Amino acid sequence: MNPLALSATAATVAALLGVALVFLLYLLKPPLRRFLVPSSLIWERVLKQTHAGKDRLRWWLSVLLAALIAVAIVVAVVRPELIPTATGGTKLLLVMDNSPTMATRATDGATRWDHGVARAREVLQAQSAGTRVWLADTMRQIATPGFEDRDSAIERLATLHVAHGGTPRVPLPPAGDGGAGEAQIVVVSDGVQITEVPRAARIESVFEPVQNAGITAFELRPLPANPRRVQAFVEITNGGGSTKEVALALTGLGGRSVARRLEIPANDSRAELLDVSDFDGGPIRASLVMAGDGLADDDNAYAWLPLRRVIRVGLVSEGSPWLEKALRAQPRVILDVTTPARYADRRDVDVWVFDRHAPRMPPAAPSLLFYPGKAGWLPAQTGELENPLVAGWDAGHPLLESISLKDLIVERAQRTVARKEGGDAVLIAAAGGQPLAWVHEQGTRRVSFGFSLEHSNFALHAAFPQFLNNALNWMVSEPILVKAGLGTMELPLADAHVIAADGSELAANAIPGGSLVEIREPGFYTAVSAQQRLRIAANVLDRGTTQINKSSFEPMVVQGHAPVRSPPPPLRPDPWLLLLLAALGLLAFEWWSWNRRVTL
Amino acid sequence: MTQESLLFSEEFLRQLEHLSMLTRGPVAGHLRGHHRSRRTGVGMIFTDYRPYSVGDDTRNLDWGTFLRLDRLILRLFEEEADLPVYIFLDVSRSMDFGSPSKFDVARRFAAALSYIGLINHDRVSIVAFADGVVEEMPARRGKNQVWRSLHFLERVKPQGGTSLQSAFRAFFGGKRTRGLVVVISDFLDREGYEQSFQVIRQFRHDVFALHITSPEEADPAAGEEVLLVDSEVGGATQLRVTPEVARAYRETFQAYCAEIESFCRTHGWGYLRTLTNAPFEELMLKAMREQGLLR
Repeated sequence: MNPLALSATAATVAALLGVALVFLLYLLKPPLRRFLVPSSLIWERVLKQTHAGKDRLRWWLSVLLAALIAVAIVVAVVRPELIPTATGGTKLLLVMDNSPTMATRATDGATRWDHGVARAREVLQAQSAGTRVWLADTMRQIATPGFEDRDSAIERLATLHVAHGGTPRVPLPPAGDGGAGEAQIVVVSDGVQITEVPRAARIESVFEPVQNAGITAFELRPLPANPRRVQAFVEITNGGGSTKEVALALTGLGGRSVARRLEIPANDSRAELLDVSDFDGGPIRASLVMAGDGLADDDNAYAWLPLRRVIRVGLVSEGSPWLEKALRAQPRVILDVTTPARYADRRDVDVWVFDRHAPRMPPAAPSLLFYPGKAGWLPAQTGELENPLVAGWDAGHPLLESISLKDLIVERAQRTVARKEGGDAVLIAAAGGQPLAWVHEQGTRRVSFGFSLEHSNFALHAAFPQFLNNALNWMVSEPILVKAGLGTMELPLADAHVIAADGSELAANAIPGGSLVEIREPGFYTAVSAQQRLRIAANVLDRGTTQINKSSFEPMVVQGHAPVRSPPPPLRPDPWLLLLLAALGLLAFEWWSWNRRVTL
Repeated sequence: MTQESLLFSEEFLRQLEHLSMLTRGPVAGHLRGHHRSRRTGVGMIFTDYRPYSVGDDTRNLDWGTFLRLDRLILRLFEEEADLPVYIFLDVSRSMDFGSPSKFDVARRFAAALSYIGLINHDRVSIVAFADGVVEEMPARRGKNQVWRSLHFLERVKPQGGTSLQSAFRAFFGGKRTRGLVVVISDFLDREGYEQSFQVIRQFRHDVFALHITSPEEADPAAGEEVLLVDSEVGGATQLRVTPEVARAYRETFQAYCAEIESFCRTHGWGYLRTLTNAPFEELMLKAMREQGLLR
């Protein structure tokens, strides 16, 4: 610990100030008493005999001694850094592991991260003031780390925190980056989620085995046989070293809840199905309680129970096996298939799907149309497009969330002219701006594709069922649910406000076409923008995080790494303490010389 | 500093009246007095014969010799003359030191000696000197001049530095009858006293040195670290008065006094060193007689 350490220049200035102060104090002695003598004749003879004129020399000797004492004390206190720095000083690469398991609470109540920060601060403060520090973190919170001075690194260290999202890894600067290859490497980690550490690195371990159980999976599923029934699938993993009993509870709106007590062996998982059919639609929280649980982040998980349990879909088609099969595969869909000839608008249908057909009058329910043909309530058709190239799509639209149309091939499509008024928006566009699909959001919602599934490979896409799910949810105005992990999340909402369940708002940064928000705790969040609303269920749900005791340090030690704790340095006399002792010695000498009238 | 009175008690004055100045040889006074002189004339002490010349006092003819030898022989007698007494009083600033001050003590000595001289019909001159002759009381004779001399001594004040040589040269530059020179001083003369007294030696004056010192001067309590201020020159010297330095001063001071005494004794002069706190009457009535200045 060297809290007062100054650079050599600053220490020199301090020492000079000390000398100046001593000199000033000697000059500021009280005025001498005037002693009147009849004549100095006799005194002059005495001075010649006793050489009392050497007083000036003695005075200077006194000042010299006092100045030496002052310099010794000042230097011992400020401890100048004798190893310089800016260019030729030592270099340190300090990597902080801020992966999610670092939030584990140790037996002393502090988290591994708290221990890590304290350890890192010790490492930094043990360095000379001129040491250049390259501070980085495994979760890349510091986007562009670079060499900086020690104090700046200490300040920057305080800004880091445990982060989620992405794979933790030890970042290192390129070998040619300012002599990084000669730098000392220190990794502060618990070794759980860090798999690779440079061989030359010194590991400052903050790992301590503690008990932990966490929810590693949580999903709500309608029963295939009866979509009205909904089951919650919960998987709990015991990451501790012994069998543990945990209390699981699912809580919904209106005070609905269901609880279980489970006994889970060490390093094992247990899946549980719970019936939540009686729960009201909305958010459901799964929470877990276990004595001595080390990590809180994985003790809660959130899911969304749809407000509408089933969607009645009316498919109007001459026969489309892909479409029919895909619709039937949707968990909440009750499908009613009919032909265009027998079509009649009904009120008991939630969503109409028209395949290569368009009724003359718009249906009362929302509709999804593929290659609809001409109808007055649809955009006018001006011809056909042969092999149009898909040039772009509105990736931010809820319909296309989690869907890529990069491989979409269309053989033939209708050439349509979108109406400028009426709330039509292009969803997929061909080269030249020709719309291939459009959406109508005003009034009754409609999605219209200018091509059929038979004239494209859209139905063969892996994302096609997801598209149908998005489309059905969007058309019945079911809130769009985004399942996310913790960490930084990109929302397709411009100028979004993200509000947690307790009403607090998370800071969101605007990016082109969306917003960035960092979610640090599991929870249910609502992102609101001027256009739409998004539900976000943010959960950890990661076995790698829950198993907080799988530290990778042991094999690393076997492979030749430095021990977890550095051995205590050999006992060496502290030069600054020696300097202080020298000052005391000089002080004693000054006292002796003063008593002996050698000094003044 | 309170000025000591120059007035003496009546008893002391009566005792002084029994004293007179003493010189080691015949005096050269011009007027009748009580001191032996080299001149022959009217007196009590027979010295020689010589043939009678016309105009000689016939009262001194030795008639017995005339009857035996039929020659007129005149008897000669040693003539008694007055003694020129030159009292040099040091009025430099260095004399204004001590309690009582050396200056006051010196004035008392000067007053007492002038009184003795005047009542014995000696010609007494008082010269106040510092770095030259400051003021001079011309030669006076007779008891009625006592008040004049006391008034002179009351008037002088300490001033200037010390230069015995300048004072002696200035005073004896004019024609002065050989006599007794009494120097009352602390002899703290930077120019050195040896050269100064050379002037007096040339005129073969009889000298008596009265060395006035003060106890504070002989053993100063200067303290630890002081700024010495010379009362005459005014210069200041920073000095740390260690016990060694104080001891060295005492030794040097005593050596300086001894030098002066030795110088005076070597030249056959009288010397008396006194401290300001010494009993004045005893010094006058005893020590002065012992040192051969008074009888």
